[in-house]
Amino acid sequence: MTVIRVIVAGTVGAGKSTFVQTVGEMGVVCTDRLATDETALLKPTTTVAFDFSRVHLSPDLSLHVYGTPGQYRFNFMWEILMQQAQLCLLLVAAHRPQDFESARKILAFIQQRSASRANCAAPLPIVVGLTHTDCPNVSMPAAVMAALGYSNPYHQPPLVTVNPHDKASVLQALTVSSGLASVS
Amino acid sequence: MAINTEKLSYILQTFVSTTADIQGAAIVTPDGLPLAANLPGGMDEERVSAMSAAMLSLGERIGVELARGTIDRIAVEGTDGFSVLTSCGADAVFLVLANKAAKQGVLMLEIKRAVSELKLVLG
Repeated sequence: MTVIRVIVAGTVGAGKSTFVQTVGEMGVVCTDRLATDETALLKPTTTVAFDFSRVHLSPDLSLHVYGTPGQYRFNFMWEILMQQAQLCLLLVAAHRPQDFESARKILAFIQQRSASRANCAAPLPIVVGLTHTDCPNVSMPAAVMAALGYSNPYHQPPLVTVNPHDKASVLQALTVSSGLASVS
Repeated sequence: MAINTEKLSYILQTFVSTTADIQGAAIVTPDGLPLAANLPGGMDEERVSAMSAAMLSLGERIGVELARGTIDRIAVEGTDGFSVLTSCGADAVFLVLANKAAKQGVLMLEIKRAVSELKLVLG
């Protein structure tokens, strides 16, 4: 049995917790608390440690999915979770261009820290997941990638569109992404 | 009624300066934002707050999932001292940093006293 550990990163309200809950096959761990900062304008609660659930993609492939908190003050959690991760799915809400800058910062943090992981020489493979694509005023995928700092279309991570509420869509995104995981 | 942050800061300051072997204290929201803090130099208030919230929520989760009931406190004991997290009503978490010389009994009693004082201000 191969286990791939995936971390789901991204800005506040991108759909990370929903994604993890939708994955949930057998019980989900979540650490939601009432939001008191600007997050409260978007949603009532926010993740403060991590969300966890798992799914079997095939009889011999199991994915452990860890959802991270979105606010930058929780970057120590990103660091802890990425130590053992083999793949990072960065969720970006396509209808909130004002959040692209924070997404870019999260991406930079993960790329920089994952390059110096103690137990692993290779940087963490990253997949960008676009969410909220059914909302009005969505940005084009190319514009999102450019905002994340990928200006060259030939040198950018894979992009998937995902609806975190829809199980089929979530599994599809995980199946595509898991092909890239650096399984040792 | 608005929370009197000055009073919170004053309680923390008194607590840290008058209690032996205590090096710092902070009171934070359950989603990891500082309400008031009195921490050793070099410790970032925001980061400490976020860590406290993450730790307490995981502890509470362990309490539920592993059937340990409601969590009174979480203590981290290291070679250089203690870090104790105590829930302080529904809207706040109290963090105390103490050095290795601290007597645990005294520490817990002092924390209990400070918590009841803080709760009055938090309302």
